[in-house]
Amino acid sequence: MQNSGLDNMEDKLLVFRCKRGSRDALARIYQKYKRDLLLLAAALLNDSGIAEDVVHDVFVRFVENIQNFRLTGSLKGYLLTCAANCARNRNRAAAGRASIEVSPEEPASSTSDGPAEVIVCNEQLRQLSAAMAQLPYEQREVVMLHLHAAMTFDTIAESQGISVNTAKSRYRYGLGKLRLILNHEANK
Amino acid sequence: MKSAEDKVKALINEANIETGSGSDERTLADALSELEKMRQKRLTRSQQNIWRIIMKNPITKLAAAAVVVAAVFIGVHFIGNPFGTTVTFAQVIKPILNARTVVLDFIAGKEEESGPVIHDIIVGNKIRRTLSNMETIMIIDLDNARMLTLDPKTKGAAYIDIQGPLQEGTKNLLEFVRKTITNLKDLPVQKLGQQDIDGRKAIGFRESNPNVELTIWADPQTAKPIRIELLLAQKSLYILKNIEFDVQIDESLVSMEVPAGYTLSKTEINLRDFTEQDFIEGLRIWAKYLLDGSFPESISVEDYLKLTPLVGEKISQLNVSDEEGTRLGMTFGRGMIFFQQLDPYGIDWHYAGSGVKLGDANTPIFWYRPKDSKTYRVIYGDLTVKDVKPEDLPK
Repeated sequence: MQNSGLDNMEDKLLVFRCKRGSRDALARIYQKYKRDLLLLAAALLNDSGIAEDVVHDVFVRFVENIQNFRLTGSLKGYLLTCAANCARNRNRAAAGRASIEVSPEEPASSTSDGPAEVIVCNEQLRQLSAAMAQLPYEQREVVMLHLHAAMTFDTIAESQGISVNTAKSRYRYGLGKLRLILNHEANK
Repeated sequence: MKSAEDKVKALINEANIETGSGSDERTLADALSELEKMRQKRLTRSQQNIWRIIMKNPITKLAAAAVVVAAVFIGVHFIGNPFGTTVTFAQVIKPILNARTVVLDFIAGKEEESGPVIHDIIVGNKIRRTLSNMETIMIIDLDNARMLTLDPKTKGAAYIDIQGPLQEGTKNLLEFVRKTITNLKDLPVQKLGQQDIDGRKAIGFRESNPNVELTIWADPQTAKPIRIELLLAQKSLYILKNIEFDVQIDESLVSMEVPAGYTLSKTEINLRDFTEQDFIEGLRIWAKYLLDGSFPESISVEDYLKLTPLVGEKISQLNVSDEEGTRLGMTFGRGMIFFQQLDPYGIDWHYAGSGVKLGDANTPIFWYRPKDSKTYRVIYGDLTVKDVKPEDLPK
């Protein structure tokens, strides 16, 4: 996990203050990591509205459990893992109703039932989400956690309850497919 | 493979997503709401433990009353102005603050079924104080720094001298009610929005500085405060609720005369003249009677209060007279007050007695520098005391 010592120090202080009930500290954590979480969830779920709900749930649960929380690694890594878990649950729940994997022609749109909010995604995110949507969910997750959250395969394997080799092969297959998709897009 | 990795990385780095401010507000509001619940729970646990300990106290009634006085004193004593310099105290005092009579409920920690509610009837500079789970009535005369305790069950009465810091601590509780309301308008205020408070719609405001966090819930129609929450030193929560101003009150309720039918105790509880010797005697009681000869792992106000029931139990086992039991209880209480004085006065102290045996003349267990003193008072395991220069302190 690439996180500077200064960042870690600040995060430890923020978590400490949060545990003491500091509203400012919580707001700072939210502002600091909101974008990273949103990006991960949007790329995994290809739905910015649901991604927003994921970020909401992650922060509320983070506070619910903060008294028992001990920051041993990076806070960013912890929150991204939570977001990935939450997104996986959302994906499974949605799979029971209808596939959340919408077609590439409808990337990063919002199907959230929440209040209508203006969510702005740039072209790169649309392209990323559209490409990711064509991968099996498990492969998306490993690719995003490794490249976006900078998590090692060991950590990813542990957090998902899979072997390191499985994590690596999912990454390899996912990346191979992404190469074809992105090359195809570039040649259009 | 590498180029695909680079391409995806580049996309991730350049990807951007921005949500509307409404989304941020929703998430932050829900998370902050959870944080507030968590904060209240934490404070409640801490405060309830203290009050449960106090109220289970089997010390003789007079000594128990002394403990209650000390407990109410905790946390409401400040040196200087807790609001800092941003507030002009010379501002015009609102009519509501000039109320001669005030009735309020005072709760230490979050209100829970098991937690006691202190009911204060304030008439000028006198207070009639009762606790929801204790029959003792306390009538406090702030002008003369005296307290009359009445036990309706035994018809016993006793006067307690509360001069000095005890008076300040008690007085500050009343003044806090007024200062919180007075100063709200001049301090930076955070709006908490509207919530149901005590079954009523209320608008909340909060301001804080390093010493105090003040939350006021007011009736949105009349703007009168219906609930005030004070968080002191980031750890002690006090709630004032059911506040009424200028109500008709029978003056006899705050009379310092012993009522007919009550017998005045010959033993006067003295918590005023607390000294270092009381603290030392308290340490002796602690090690000798409560811990089989060793000093405790740590010393804090909460540690003291946790021990209060044990003190009473041990005193009763000693089979001493009521007078001697009360004397021991008072000594312990005064020792507690002595200790409580250290932090508010900014006195440097250190405890190193964990595991040290009572009687160990070579091991320092506690040292502190009295106000304006150039040397430290060092207490050893045999409870002797020496004056020591800072450079000669134990490492």
